[in-house]
Amino acid sequence: MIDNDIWDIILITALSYLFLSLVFIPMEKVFPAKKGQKIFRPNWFLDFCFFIGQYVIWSSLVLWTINYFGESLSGIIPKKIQSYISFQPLILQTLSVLILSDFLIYCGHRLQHKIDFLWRFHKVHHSAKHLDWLAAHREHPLDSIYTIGLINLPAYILGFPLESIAGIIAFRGIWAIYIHSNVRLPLGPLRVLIGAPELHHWHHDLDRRAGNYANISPIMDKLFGTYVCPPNEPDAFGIKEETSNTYLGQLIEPILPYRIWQSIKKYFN
Amino acid sequence: MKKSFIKMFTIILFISLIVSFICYRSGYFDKSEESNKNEISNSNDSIVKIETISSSKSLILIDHYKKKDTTSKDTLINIKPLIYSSKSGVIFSTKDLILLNKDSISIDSMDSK
Ligand SMILES: [Zn+2]
Repeated sequence: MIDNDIWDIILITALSYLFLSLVFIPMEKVFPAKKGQKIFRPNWFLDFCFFIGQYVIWSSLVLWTINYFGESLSGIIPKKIQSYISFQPLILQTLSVLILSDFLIYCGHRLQHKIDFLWRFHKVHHSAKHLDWLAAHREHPLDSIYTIGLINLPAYILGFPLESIAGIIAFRGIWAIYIHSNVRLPLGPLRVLIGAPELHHWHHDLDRRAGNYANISPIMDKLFGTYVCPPNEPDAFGIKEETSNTYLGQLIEPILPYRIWQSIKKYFN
Repeated sequence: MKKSFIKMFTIILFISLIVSFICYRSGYFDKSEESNKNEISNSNDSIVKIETISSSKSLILIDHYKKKDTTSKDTLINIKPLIYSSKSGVIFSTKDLILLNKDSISIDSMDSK
């Protein structure tokens, strides 16, 4: 039984990897943002570890944690109000949930860049010096809990059935990977609605406060004045701080006190 | 000429794959999934589902439906749909395999009749 589960997870991880490669690699080759960046660029293996880790270990754990705590949130609003909301047109409910989610994640993400305690987890994602679809998966599991938790909060509180917008969720999910890909194919005005790599690449600029904190669509950045869209790509991606180059090191560093990490970091480089 | 053909082909491939994925997630591809879902929710050994809104990083392509085994410890997991984080998420999960297996089991049993 356990053997079967493990094989299932391996099969699914491999299938997902192949599918995503097929979706993004041709685009990265034909419309590259950084010309000459290879598929197996430096730290490819580190991001591959994050990809495997996310599928094999963290995704179910993260999602289970959020569901576990989310259940208790669904009782915050009285059932009467929830049922009143559920009788509103689906389009209105969907828009409300997505706008609230985007607003929360915008604020939460901005805080991650501002507050050092939150940045220590989020900087794992920003430590990628080479952006492509695989680098999107470089994310500390506690960062995942924070962001997925925030983004799902309105749906939990309002009791909104997310399965009714499975298509929208799927699009936003795969687009989130796309905006990290090494692609430059300007979408024109459409980018304000659905976001684009040329915007999110600037979020990964070496400057921690570069802007573009919004989830996928940059509308929140436009509203709050943090929208940036220069005509060129940033010179370099990553963070100014020194950080580990290994998977274990990147997982452990944020959860350890600074002094302890300093004394053991030589084992994780 | 050849270059613009490659560019066109790449964009068409990209859009087709994304549209196919969205259709698959919305349940357009397999009509049998609907009947499977009913079977799943009605049966005693129910299957647990996870789905999320994703944030701007990545997403899980296949999400996890875990089969409840009344003899095992993880029988009480009951996971509702969710939105993924803004970075990434799982594209496919064991749920898809379970549904595929269910399809093949029902096809096998139909064959053997
Ligand atoms: Zn960020």
